[in-house]
Amino acid sequence: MEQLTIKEVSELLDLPEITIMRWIKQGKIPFQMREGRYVFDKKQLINWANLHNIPLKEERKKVEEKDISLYEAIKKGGVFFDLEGGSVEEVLRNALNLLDLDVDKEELLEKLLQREELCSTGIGEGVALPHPRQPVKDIEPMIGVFFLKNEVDYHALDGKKVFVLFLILCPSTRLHLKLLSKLSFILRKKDFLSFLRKCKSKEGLLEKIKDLEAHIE
Amino acid sequence: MDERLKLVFIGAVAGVGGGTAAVFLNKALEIGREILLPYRGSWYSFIFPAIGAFLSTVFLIYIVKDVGGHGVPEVIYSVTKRGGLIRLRSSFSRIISCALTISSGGSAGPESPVVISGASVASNIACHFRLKDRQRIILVGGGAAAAIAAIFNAPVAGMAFSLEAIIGEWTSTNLIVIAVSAAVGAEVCRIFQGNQIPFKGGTFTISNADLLACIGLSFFTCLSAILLMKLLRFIRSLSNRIVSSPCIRAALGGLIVGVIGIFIPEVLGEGYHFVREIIHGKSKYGLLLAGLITLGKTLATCLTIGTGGIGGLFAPCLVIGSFLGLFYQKLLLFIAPSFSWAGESYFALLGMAGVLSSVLQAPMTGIFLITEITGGYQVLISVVLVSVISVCLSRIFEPFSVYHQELIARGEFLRPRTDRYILSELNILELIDQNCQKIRSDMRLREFVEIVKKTKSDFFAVIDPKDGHYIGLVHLDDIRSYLFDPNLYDTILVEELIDPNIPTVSLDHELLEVMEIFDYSHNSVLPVVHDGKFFGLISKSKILDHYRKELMVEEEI
Repeated sequence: MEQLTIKEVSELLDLPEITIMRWIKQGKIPFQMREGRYVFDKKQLINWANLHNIPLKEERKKVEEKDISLYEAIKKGGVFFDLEGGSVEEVLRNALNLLDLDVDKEELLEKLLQREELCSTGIGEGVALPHPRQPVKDIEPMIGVFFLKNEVDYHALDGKKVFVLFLILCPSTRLHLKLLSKLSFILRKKDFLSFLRKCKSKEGLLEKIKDLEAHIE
Repeated sequence: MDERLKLVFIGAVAGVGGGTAAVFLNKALEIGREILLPYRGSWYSFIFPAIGAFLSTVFLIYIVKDVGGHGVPEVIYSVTKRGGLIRLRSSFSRIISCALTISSGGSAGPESPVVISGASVASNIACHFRLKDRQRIILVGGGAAAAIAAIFNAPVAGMAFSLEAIIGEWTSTNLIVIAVSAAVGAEVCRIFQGNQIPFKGGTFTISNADLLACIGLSFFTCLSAILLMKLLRFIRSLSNRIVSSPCIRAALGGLIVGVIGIFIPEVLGEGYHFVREIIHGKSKYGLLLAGLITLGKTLATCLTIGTGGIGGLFAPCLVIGSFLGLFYQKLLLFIAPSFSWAGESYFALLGMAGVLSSVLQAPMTGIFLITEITGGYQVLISVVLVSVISVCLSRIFEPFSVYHQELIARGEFLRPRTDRYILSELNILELIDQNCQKIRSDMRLREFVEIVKKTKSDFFAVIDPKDGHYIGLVHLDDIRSYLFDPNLYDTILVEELIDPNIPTVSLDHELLEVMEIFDYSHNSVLPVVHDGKFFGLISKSKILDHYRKELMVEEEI
């Protein structure tokens, strides 16, 4: 028999301990006395709760989402050079094909294009941050960096053609916003932008990102 | 041992307690009557009810220091509000007071005092066995049922009375325990006093015309019940206004009853003697005299109980009902003398059922009582007819029973599974949400914005940094525009952001009052502040959450 204390019952039923104490006094909840203390048989208690339709607070199965750094996300997604394509759709399709993903890529592309239709993710200065409208379930957070072979008209806000894509894919809105906020922060730096224009190696970019990220907080 | 089985056993023990209480009161009444019998005819006997009422209130208020009232409302209050706890002294205090009142001639019944005695014994037995509130409440119901069952030798009526008037709901667990208590209570009385059917009548010949006449009688019983209840209320408030001392008040009431008794001696005492006479067809009252006694008894009862005398309404209702039935039968004979109406005992019984059911708002009690105390089912249809019609009609004018009226007047009437009941169960402490950030009143907006960034809550309690007292509440919704205006960051103090229209509640508030504050202030959240200290927030959503769970555990499976 698995025994529960008042404290555990109060957590399971999501009620304060004084309510549980009152219920004991009024005889509304099944309990036993052991050595002068109130204990509850877990199986009996769960039966009782189900009988009365009282919701039980799910035991915390959900593992807390781990935060991920920009560096880790880009390392996971990868850095690719000379991406082919003459339009938004073409570059996005080619970019997705390069990523190591276990999802329906056509569906994902559809979501990315929907987002572009709402409002271009070209944030200016030749940079675009494509991402799907909703978080993608069951994937690891990642950012794929794609340098384009030819600059593409991305309908960016400042009208400039885009030369690099940071494709953000996250399982939750919270992580997405966190990464987006960090990315936007470093993309505001002029010297980083000029670094991107000249960037030719994956290692160089990752090094730079790691360095900049360390200064954010 | 199985919980229910254990409860049934303890219920039987409580039944013994209730039954014994009834036997004791019967004996006390007999003794009182015997002592006073030689003086009954003398010229000064009219003063007896006054002396009896005075002594009984002095005894109750100053000697045993028990609260007044005729008993049943106290039992109902304890069942709904105190988990069935009743003081042990209540088990004898009212029996003695009531014996003094009634044997001296006061117009009241012995039932209510016996009910509270039985209930008190049962409550203390429950405490001895360390039963929980819910089970103790059932036992108290059992004790009350046993008391009524023992007085009338009518177990089913006792059970019905307890469920209708005291517990207020018929559920399977209630029913079993209370039935056992009532049966045991009746049995105890039989052992001591023999198995008597109190008003065993002869056989009745009931024609269809008699059944129709029942409907007419139910109008009379309804009117009589309404008169009794209204007059009782009137005399109670009038006497409370005129005389402040409870003992003098009861003595004055008794004096008037004594004076009435000079002219109509039938109004004195609990009056079962006269009921028996009528039921056995030995009465010699004419039409007018029967009517006069009905009214006189009503007035005397209201005077005795309304001025604070100790005693119940049960017996007076039966006396009034029987005289009313007699009056009605004489009236029928007067209108249609050649028709062969059923005997006067038949109408007297129906009158008793009608008046009792209406005053108590408990039709089943009236029906079963009459069936049982007459020892036969011949009159069942007529009794059901009179009781039900009379209760339905009187409910239009007097929607609550005489017991509940007292509690309603004190704002303490609660019925199981009602909104008020559930709200009264919950305590503010159980609902407080302590996840509310406290901030100092002298904090600048700049600092505050930093706190807002890091916390999830929408409400912030502002505390005086000097004494830690609560000053007010800041709601994020109200100050959004300032939060995004960096120009104000150093000019605004948190103190200036407080919403002045949020009332506070204290730990002493009943939840019902809290809900009223929610309703009129249109807030979804209220701060709980006690002695200046901030305890947390109480929110409507959390109340709903708890309220539902409270309802769910109340459900009987």
